[in-house]
Amino acid sequence: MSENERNAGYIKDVENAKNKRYKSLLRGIVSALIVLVSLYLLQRLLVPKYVDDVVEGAFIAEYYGEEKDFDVIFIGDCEVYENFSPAMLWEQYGINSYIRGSAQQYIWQSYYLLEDTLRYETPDVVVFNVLSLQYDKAQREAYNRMTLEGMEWSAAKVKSILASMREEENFLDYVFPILRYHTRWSGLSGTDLEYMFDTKPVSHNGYYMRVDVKAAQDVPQGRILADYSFGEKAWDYLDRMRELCAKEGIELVLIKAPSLYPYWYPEWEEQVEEYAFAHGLRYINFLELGEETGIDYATDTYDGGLHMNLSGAEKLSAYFGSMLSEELGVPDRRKETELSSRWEEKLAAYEAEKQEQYRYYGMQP
Amino acid sequence: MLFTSYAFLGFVAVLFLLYYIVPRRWQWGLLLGASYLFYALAGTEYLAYILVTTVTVYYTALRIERNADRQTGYLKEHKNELTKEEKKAYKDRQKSIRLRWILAGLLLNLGILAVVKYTNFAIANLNGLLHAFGKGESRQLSFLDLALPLGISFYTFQALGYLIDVYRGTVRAQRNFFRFALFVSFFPQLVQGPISRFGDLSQTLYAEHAFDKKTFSFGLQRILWGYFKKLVIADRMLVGVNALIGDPEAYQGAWVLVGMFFYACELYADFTGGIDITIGIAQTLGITLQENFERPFFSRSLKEYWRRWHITMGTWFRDYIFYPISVCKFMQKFNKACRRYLGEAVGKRLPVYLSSFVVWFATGIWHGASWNFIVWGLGNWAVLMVSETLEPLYDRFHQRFGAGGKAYRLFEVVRTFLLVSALRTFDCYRSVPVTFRMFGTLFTARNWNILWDGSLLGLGLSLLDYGILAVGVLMLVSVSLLQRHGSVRERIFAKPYPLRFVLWYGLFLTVLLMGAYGVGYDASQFIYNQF
Amino acid sequence: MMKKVYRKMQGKRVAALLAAAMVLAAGCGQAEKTVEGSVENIQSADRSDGTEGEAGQAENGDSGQDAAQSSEVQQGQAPEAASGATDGYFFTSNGVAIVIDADAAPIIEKLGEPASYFEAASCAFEGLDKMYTYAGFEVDTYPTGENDYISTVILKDDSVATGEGVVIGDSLEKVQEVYPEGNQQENGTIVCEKGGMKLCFIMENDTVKAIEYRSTVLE
Repeated sequence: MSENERNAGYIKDVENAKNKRYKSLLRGIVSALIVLVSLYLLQRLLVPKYVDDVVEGAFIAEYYGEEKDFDVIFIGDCEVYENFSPAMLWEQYGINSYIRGSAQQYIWQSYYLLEDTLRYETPDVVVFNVLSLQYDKAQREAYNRMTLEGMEWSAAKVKSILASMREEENFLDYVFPILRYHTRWSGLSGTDLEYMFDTKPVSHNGYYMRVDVKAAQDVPQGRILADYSFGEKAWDYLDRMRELCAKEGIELVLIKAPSLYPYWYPEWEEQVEEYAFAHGLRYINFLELGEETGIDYATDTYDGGLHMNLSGAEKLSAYFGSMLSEELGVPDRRKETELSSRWEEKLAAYEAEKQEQYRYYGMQP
Repeated sequence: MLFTSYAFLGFVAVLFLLYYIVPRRWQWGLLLGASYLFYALAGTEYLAYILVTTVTVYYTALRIERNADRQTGYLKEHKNELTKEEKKAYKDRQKSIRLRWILAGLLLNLGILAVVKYTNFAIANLNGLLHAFGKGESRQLSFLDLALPLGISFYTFQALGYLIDVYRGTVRAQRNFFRFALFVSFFPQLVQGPISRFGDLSQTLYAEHAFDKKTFSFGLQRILWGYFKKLVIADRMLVGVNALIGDPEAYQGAWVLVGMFFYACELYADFTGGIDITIGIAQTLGITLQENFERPFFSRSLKEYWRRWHITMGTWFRDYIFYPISVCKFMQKFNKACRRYLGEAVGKRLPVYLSSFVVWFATGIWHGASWNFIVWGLGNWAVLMVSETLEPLYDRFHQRFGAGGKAYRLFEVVRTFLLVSALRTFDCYRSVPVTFRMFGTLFTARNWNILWDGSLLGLGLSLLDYGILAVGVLMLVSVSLLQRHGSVRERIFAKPYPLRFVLWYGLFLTVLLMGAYGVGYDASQFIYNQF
Repeated sequence: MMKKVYRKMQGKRVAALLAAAMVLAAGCGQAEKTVEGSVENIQSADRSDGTEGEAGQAENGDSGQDAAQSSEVQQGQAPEAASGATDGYFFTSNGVAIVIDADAAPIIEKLGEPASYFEAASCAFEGLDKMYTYAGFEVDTYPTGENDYISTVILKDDSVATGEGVVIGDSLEKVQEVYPEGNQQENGTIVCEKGGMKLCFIMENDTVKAIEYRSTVLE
C-alpha cells in the first residue's frame, strides 16, 4: 500500500467516524423533537377545554385576551361572577369593569389574582366578596384547577399554586397538566380536537349569565358550628389584599353578595364589620339591602337562592353601579370612542346570548 | 419516597447526573450520601436503627475476622511446637470467642427486628390468651406505638448474611466503615430487596464506573418496563383486588377465584415491577444486582416456583437457616434417633420435615407479623413436604402414562399457578378464618354467572380497564416467553433505530397515559367525572 | 459446590440459634386453638389505630406492597355500605336506619314526606346536594353518578337521640362515657371515627350543642 493510499484510507476512516457522529447527533435531535412535539400535542389534546359543560374553568384565562384598562375589578367566587353584570355597569354608568372570579375561589387565590392583575393594570376600585373567608384551606382539587390553570405563568401563579395545593396534589401537575389529565384519553370528544389550540368566549367580562328562574324556598339555616371565627390564613390574605390596595392607591370594597345559601352567619358578619370598621374599608352586605336593590327571591335567582339570574344580577349591578360612580367616583367612559366600540361588540354578544337563553328555556324576554 | 412519586424520579435523575460528573473515586461516597438522604426522607427517626445495625455488624465482623486471622497466624507460628491436642484446644477456644461475638451480633439485630416488628403481634396473642383463660374482664396489655423502620427486614437480613459469611470465612470483612454502610443502605434495594450477598454486590458497588451508553440505556429501559408493570397493570388491578377483599361478604364463591387470579397478577406485576425498577436503577449506575425472579409462573411444581420467585429471599433462608439446621448436632442426633426408632424410610424424612418447618415458619412470619402469614408459610411447607414424600409415586405415574408431553407440562404449570394463588389467599384476606370461609363458599355459592353477566364491571374497573389489563398481561406473558431465549433488550437493541425508538417511546407513552397515578386516581376520583 | 461450603462451615450451632431466636421472637408455639382468637385480636387492634393490616405490610417482603398499598388507588369505587350494612355509627328514626354513605333513595322513601326540602347546586358542577328536614333531624345527600348517597345526618333538637342514647343538651361526661373512643378536638368538638364515617358532638360550655353524623368520602 502506498503512502497515498494509506492516507486516503485514514481520511476515509475519519470521515466515516465524523459521519457516524453526525448521524447519531441528528438522530438524537430528531428523536428529541418528535418526543417534545408529540407530548405538547398530547397535552393540548388532553387538558379540559371548559367550553361546554363546566365553562367556569375558562373564566380566569379569558381576562388575558382583553384590553386591560379596567376601572373596577371584581375578585371572588361564584358570588361575584354570577351576581354582577359588567355589561350593565357599562350600559348604565359607563363603568369599565371585569370580574376575575372562579368557582369556589379561595381568598389567597383572589389575592394572587389581584397581584396578577396588577402586572397589567391598576384599577381604581377592587371589589372582593367575603364569603371565601370561611375557608382556611382548599376544599377540592377540582376548584384549585379551575382557578389556577387559567392563570398565565408568573410569580403570582406559582405562589397561588403553592398556597392552594391539597395534600394529594403536586406542583409538577400544574407545570405539566398532562400528568394530571393523562387518563382523559378515554373520554375525549370532538370538542377537545376543535378547541385544541383555540377557545371561545364563555363569559361576559367574567360574568356567567343565566336567565332561568327557580324561586328560593325552604332555604335551610346554617348548621351549628363549633367555631365561628375565620382562620388565620384567611385573615392574613385579607390583610395582604388590603395592604396591596393601599400601596397601589386602589379603593378596596368588601361585599357580601345577596345569596341565601351557603348560609352567612351573624357571627361572620360581625367579624367582617369589625374588620372593615377597624381599617376604614367600605363593606356592603347586599343581604341586608333587599329593599334598595329590589331583589325578589321569587324571580331573581335561578337555583333557589344560591345565585342570581340575569334579572337579579342586573338589579344588583344597577344599584352597585350608582354607588361606584356616585360615591367612589368611578368615571363614566362612554365617550371614549375606542372603548365604546369594544363595548358595542360585547353588548351585542351579551344580547345575543340573552336571546339564545330565553329561547332555550322557553321564556319571554 | 415511593418509587412512583415524582420526588423519587427527580431524586434519581439528579443522582444519575452527579454520579457521572463527580470524580469516579467519589461515586460510592455519593451513593452512600444519596442512600442516607433517601432513608432520612422516609423519617429521620429511623436513621438510628439502620446505624445501630451498621455499626454493630461492622464491628462484630471485624472482631471475628481479627480473631480468625490471629488464630491462623498463631497456628502457623507455633506449627511445630504444639501438639495436635493443644492445637485443637486452642482452636476450640478461639472458636468459642468468635461464636460469642457472632451470637451477640445476631441476637442484638434480630432482637431489634423482633421488637419493632413483632412486639404488637406478641401482645395481641398474649391478650388472646389472657382473654381465653382470664375470667370475664381480664387485663389486656396495650399495644406499643412502634413505627416500623423502612426496609428493616431487608437490611437486617442483608447485614446478617454478611456477618455469617465473614464468620464462615467465605468473604473478607469490609474494613472501610463507610463502604460497609453503603452495602447495608444502598437505596434502590432498601424497600423491597433483592437481598444481596456481600460477595456479589461488593464486586460492582465500590468500583469506579465510566458512563456507558448501552448499560445506561438498558438500565432506563428496565426501569420503564418496571413502571409499566407497576402503574399500568398492578395499580390498575389493585382497584379490583381492593374491591374484592374489602368486602368479603359480598364477594363469595366464584369471586374468590377471580380474586385469586387478580391478586396473582397484581402481586406479580407489582413486585417484579418494583424489582425491575430497583435493578434498572442499579444498572444505570453500573452496579449489578442479583435477579430476584426467573419467570416464576412457568414453574411446574411448587418447589420449582420457590426457586424462581423472590430468589434472594429463598436462598437466604436456605443458606443461613435451612442448611445450618440440617447439619447441626441436634439434628444429626435427631436423625439417628429417628432412623433407629422409626426405620430408615420414615426416619430419614422427619429431620427434613423439621428443618423445613422452621424455615417456612420463619418465611411466613418474616412476611408480616400476623397469623395469616404464618399459616401461609406452613401451607407452603405442607404442600412441599407432601409432594416430596410422594415423589416416587409421581415418578411411577409419569413413567406408566408417559406424562411428559407439552400438554402435560402445561397442565403442571397451570396446576402450580392455581396452587400458588390458592395459598396466597391467606396473604390476600389477611385473616385465617375469613380465608377458610371464603374457600368454603367456592363450593356453596354457585354464582359462576358473575364471570359473564357483567358483574365484573362492578369492581370499579371499566371495560376499557379490562382491555388494558388483558393486553398488559398478554405482554407480560409474551416477554416472559421471549426471555427464555435470552435478553429481550439485547434483541431489541439489534433492531434498526426507528423501530427501537417507536417501541420504547411507545412504552413510555403507555405508562404516561395509562398508568394509574396522580390525583385522578385517588379515592375521591368520582368528583372529577365531569371534566 | 454448595455442599462443600457447608461441610466446611463451623457455624451450625449459630444458625440453629439464629433460627430459634427468630421463632422465639415471633412468640410461636401456641396451640392451634388460639389461632382464631388471636387473629380477631390483631384485627381489632389494627382497626383501633386505623392502620388496618399495615403492621405486616409497611415493608412487605413478598408482595413489596408498601408502595402499592400506600398509593391508595381506589378510583371509581362507589361508596361503601350501599347495601345498608355498616361498621359505623348510624341514626335510626322510626325503625329506619340512616346509614352514612348508603344509597339515599330507599331511606328517603321510608322516612316519608319531609317537613322541608332544599337542594343546592355546587359551584360549577352538575348534580345537587339535597337536604331533607324532618321532625328533629335533617338528612343531607351528595350525588355520585346516577345516585344520591347520605352525606350527613344532623340531629336538631333533643327530641331525637343517637343510637347510643346521647341527645343535645347532654354533658361532656355523658358523651365521654358513652363514646370513650371519641377524640376531643381543639375547638371542643368530640369526634368518633368508625367504619369510614364520623360522629361529631359539637360542644358549648361542656354541653352538647349539636350532633352530626358525617361522611368522610368528601373530605
